Amino acid sequence: MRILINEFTKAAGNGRLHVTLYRDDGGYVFERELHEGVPGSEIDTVMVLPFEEPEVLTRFIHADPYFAKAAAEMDKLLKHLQEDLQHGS
Amino acid sequence: MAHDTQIALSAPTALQHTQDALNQIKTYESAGQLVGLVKQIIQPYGLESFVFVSMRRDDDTRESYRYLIGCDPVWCQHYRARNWYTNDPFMAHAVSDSTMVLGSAITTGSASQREMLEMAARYGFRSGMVVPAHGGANARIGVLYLGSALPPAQIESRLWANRFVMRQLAFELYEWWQAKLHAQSVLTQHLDGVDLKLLRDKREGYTTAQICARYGYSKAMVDTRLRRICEKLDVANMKQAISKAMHLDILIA
Repeated sequence: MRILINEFTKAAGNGRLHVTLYRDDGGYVFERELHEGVPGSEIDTVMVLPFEEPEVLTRFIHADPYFAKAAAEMDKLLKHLQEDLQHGS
Repeated sequence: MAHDTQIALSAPTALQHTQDALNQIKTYESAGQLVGLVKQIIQPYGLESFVFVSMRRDDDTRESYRYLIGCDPVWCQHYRARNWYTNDPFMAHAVSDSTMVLGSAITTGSASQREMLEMAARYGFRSGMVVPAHGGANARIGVLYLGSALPPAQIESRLWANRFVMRQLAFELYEWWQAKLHAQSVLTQHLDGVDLKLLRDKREGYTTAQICARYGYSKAMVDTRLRRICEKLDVANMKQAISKAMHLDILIA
């Protein structure tokens, strides 16, 4: 069963970055959806990252080329993860 | 764990364990559990990393890529950020050819491709295999990248000897993704509480700006949500989405 922990959407260049963090069957899943381009030339990229250790997500997020543009939202998401780790276990 | 004991088991028994694990894939709903299972399957063959890509190119106007990450995820960020998917020689092979290929069999023609392979090696893909999974005309293409930190000479012969296991793994993952995508169109399982809240508000006539003010959501988030609701319901616009949702009685509070 999925339990949503945090999500946000951010404008990213010619497109939009939407990320979702949820708990799923005891583990965590981070989904990063990037919609780029204009009508007639569009690229959708979805990355699904299951993880258990929060450091894995932190490394992934910090390597994201859009991290600088969404740093505040990413930090908030990581904070929600830490809170869920403390309360969920 | 099963994969730890397989080393000591006889070959037929180990193969049976692999077969049992492959048969379990379609029963997994959680991506996290699936990635764990895939790693159990590939580790006895000397592999530590994998990425499964489900891709679709609808003419030249729209491309869709979905990555299931079972490796150091930083690699995927580099791969995408540098647009290596546009000239990845493994991807090029997989799109046009359904045969499996060992890493050493792929030739690189450009500096960008060589750089890609050098970085892949740093993130667990020093050697490995690429296994395409084609689903027929107009369907998505699956590409399973399998990686090892070992040099090719130490692992490729073993991979090739077990290539049919890898092929079955690729197709099981392909079917898992296809089932997942299909399920996303089954609206009642995939419209979550926020989706239903937005649908109800839209039915009541709230504007996007009013919804944003009501819940503290950003306009971009609401727009994305509404677009995805239409995709999930397989309709062209919000008016049709509300109509379909009401028809299916899913907006009953």
